[in-house]
Order: sequence, then structure tokens, then C-alpha cells
Amino acid sequence: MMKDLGPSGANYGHPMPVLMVGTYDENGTVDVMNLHWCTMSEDGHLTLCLGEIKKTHENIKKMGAFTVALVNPSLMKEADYFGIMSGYKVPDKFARTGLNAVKSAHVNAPIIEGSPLVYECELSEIVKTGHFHAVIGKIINVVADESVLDENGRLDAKKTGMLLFDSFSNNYVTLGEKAGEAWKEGRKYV
Amino acid sequence: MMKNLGPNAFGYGYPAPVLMVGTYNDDGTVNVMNLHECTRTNAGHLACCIGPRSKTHENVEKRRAFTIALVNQNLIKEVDYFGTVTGYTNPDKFAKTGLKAEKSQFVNAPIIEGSPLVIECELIEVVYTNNFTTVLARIVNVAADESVLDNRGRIDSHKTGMLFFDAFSNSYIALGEKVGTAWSDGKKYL
Repeated sequence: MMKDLGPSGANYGHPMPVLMVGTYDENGTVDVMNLHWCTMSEDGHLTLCLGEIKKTHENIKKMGAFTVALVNPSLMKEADYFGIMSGYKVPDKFARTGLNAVKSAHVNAPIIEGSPLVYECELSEIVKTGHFHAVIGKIINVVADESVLDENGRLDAKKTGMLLFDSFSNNYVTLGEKAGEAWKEGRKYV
Repeated sequence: MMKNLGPNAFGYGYPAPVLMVGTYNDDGTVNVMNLHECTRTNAGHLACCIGPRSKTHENVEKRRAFTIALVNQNLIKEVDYFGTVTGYTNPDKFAKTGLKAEKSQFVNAPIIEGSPLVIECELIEVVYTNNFTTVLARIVNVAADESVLDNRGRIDSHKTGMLFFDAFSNSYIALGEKVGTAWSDGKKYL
């Protein structure tokens, strides 16, 4: 039996990966925001839905670059704080957490130490229509902590410890167990 | 120690929820595609990066409506199949699975029986730029199977049994455990 919950029934959306978006301002100060409204779009591009009123938006426009990092339990408190406080109100919000960052070797944006997996992005374009506003980043490099690679050098989702934001309960949730194989489970219908 | 994997390591992106996109064909039959490139926007809409050459895209442009459903273990074979073949070469792909659908009461699109959570959408616009295209939709209603609601009538993400597509290993993965609380764990830095 299906129950109608209305247009706001999904709150801030279904559970999605929590991300840290890292940028520099014009003084070289690191700013980080917490974002889960992000998806792969065209091949090799990430689309971030973030408002123009954000410090991150201003920084991306000025620097033309940003990083997107997965968040694991070791960074959960910091990532949560980045989602609570604006970089406009607290310009040293990153410094307050005690985290360190190094400049990406590929783009003008910071890589936050301790991140399991980081996408280094160059601003491709800012898309704006009457109903839609998004920052499109082209992936210039993917950088992973060695601990999240398997013995063949491939990324292992479980090893990243990546967290999801569950807006139904306002919780952070881990990824669970493998449930099946893509492009295999459905073969019985082919 | 961080390791550079290059831009191609991006592949199909980091793990994201697997979704079924349901539309009607010209003759009223049902088409369903498998999608993980979808996010809520900061304005509260849904942005679905559906390939412009897909049958779903054609249907969405013609009907100006579609449904997005989370996928659980009971639907894994079917949704994997929906991601394996296209509705152009297999117009009866939905019928082949033996699944049933009924028309949404709110939009001109099908709700697939057995879906734990369905977002009923009305097309706002198809956004096209040089490096980007997305189907932008207004959420008209969220319909949940009663079994996924907690005792206060709220959606329980674990009860949905939702699955994620992990492009690192081409696997489907379940949701894991709660590890923290949003807008709470970061308060120590305030």
C-alpha cells in the first residue's frame, strides 16, 4: 500500500554521499563546505548544486577550481561543522578544525589531509536558468589515499569509509554490504 | 600517502543511489531506465542527467513527466536489466520482467509495483549547454510504501532497502549503519 507524502516528503532528498568541497579565497585561505547535492553529469564531469550566496560559489568563480572529497568517519565532525557554519560568517572556519590542507598539484584548490578520495576539478561552467543553478567541474585528476586501493590498485568503496547523508533521519550512514553485481543480475531477462 | 590515479579513474563516479526512471512510451506502454546520475538541487527540484539519446529522454520530453524510484533487493534483477538494454531496441523491456505498473495520480508516468519510495516528477525544462545537459523536474509528490515508514510516519532509509551503484567494482551495495548525526556532531567547533 502506497502512501502519499506530498512534494516535500523526501526532505533534502534521498540518502546521498557527503562531500567536502574545498576552495581558496583570494588570500589563499582555505574554505570547505559540506554538500550532498552533486552528481556525475557528462563523462568526466561533476555537477554541484550550490547557491550563489555561498562563499564556496564566490571562491570557485574567482579561482576557477575546486576539489570534491569523500568523507569518512575520521572527518565526520569536521564535515558536519563545515555544513553548519558559513565561510562568510567565520572566515577561518577551516583553521578552527585543526585540519591541514595542501595545494593540489593540478588545480588551484586545496586537498584536505585525511581525505580518502579527492576529485580535482577545473571550473567548466556555471549553468544558470530560471529554475536551475549549478557549478560544472571537469575532472583533472583523481587522487586516492593508498589505504583505499585494493591489491590491484583499484578503488575500494568499502575501504574509503565514505559516508552518506540521510536527510530522512538527519543521520550520517555508512555504505553496507555488497548486494549484487551490475550488468550481471539482470541477464536472465536478456 | 596520496596516489594520483589520473582523470580517467573518475569512470562512472563514486557510489550513488540506483534509481529507476519510469516513463510512458507513445503507445502507453511503460519504459524504465536505470540511473545513478541524479541529485536534488539546492532549489528543491531534481536534476537527472539522462542521456539525450535514450528512450527515456524522448519520453520525458513528450510526456513532460516521469517517476524516480529507489531500488531494493527485490528489484535488483529487473533494474540491472533495465540498465543493460535500451527501450529503443527492446520496446517491451518492462513487460519482459513481468513487473506491473500503475499510473501515478499526479503525473503522466507509471509507478512500478514493489518500489519502496517513488518521487513523482513534472518536467520543468531540459537544460542544455556545451558540456552539460540535465532533465530538471519539479517534485509533485513523494509516494512511499507503508512498510518503509517508521511509527511516526517518517521515511526510514533502512526500511527502504535502497541500493547504491558502486562503479569502482560494478556492484550494488546496501546501506550500512548510522555513525553520526547531522547538524550535531560538528557543534564542538562552534
